[in-house]
Amino acid sequence: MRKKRPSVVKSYKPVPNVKSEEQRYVNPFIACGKVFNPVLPFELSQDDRPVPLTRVSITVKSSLPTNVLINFSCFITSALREAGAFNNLVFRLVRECSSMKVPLREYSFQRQLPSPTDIKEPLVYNFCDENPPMRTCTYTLFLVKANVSKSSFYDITNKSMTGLVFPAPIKREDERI
Amino acid sequence: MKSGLPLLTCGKTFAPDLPEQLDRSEPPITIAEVFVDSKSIQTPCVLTKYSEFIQFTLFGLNPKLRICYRLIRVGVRDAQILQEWEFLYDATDRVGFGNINAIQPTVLNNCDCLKKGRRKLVYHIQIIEIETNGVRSYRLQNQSFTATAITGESQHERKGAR
Repeated sequence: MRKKRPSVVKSYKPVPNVKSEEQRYVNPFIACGKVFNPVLPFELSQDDRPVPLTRVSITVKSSLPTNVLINFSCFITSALREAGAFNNLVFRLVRECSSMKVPLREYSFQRQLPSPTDIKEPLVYNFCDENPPMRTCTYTLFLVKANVSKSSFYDITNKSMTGLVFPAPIKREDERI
Repeated sequence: MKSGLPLLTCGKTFAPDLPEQLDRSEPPITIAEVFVDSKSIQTPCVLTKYSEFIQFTLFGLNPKLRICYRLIRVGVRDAQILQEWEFLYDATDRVGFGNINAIQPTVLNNCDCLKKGRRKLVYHIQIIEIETNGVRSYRLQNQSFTATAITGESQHERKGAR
């Protein structure tokens, strides 16, 4: 038997100074991200300063709950010049809302092949951010680690980042009760 | 009236027999297209998503597969190249290591906010260059091309403003 509602169920209240006639619904919208083209370091360790690759800022003009779908895509070149050569990269998605920084996720990319090979291949990461804590937030994708074997090299091209904002479904009381 | 609601258009894809070589001086091969009419949307942006799987079998020495694509936007008066990208697998090796069989997923998204006056548009995905060596077979499968037309600004929705 369940006696109480689970504590994770949130309830949303409208902002008091807004007329109840307005803001019944938040229209979905998109934010195209900015792309940076920094010189990529040959070696980058977790102690080094992360390299920003793309950034998207989102401002929601409504107090209603929204979910944000972040999409990042790029092509990765791995020029592996000897047998067993490798290209290991780590990316980090960070959300910043009025100087409150939260790392959301880390993604690893690894390529190792038995013979010298050049590969240029696509990479896609999606992240769904459920009702971010503030109305204005910035999402940045950083390169935080690069480890490439000797005489090989890598590149990151065709970078793209978008944020799609949708109204969050209304959370009802736990339907199992 | 502008309803402001986002629109999703499913595009058409084509899977023609692809040549072993294609030069930039030759006519490009269109593999996908989608039509967008964004007139009901204020400050519209168009998010195009193209995805496919490249199935290929390589053998012998120095196998290579290189495919160059581009995304173009065709309006009433003009056409513009929005992006070019390349898929490459090039194993320059003295020793072959048997067949390579691969199915490579590929996704390309593009976010395109439109200037005023651009309403009816067609986006095309084209192959503009192909280079192969030691490719036993290759083809594109499970292609998909969609366009989402959606506003680029957060806005208040008034009750009854339809």
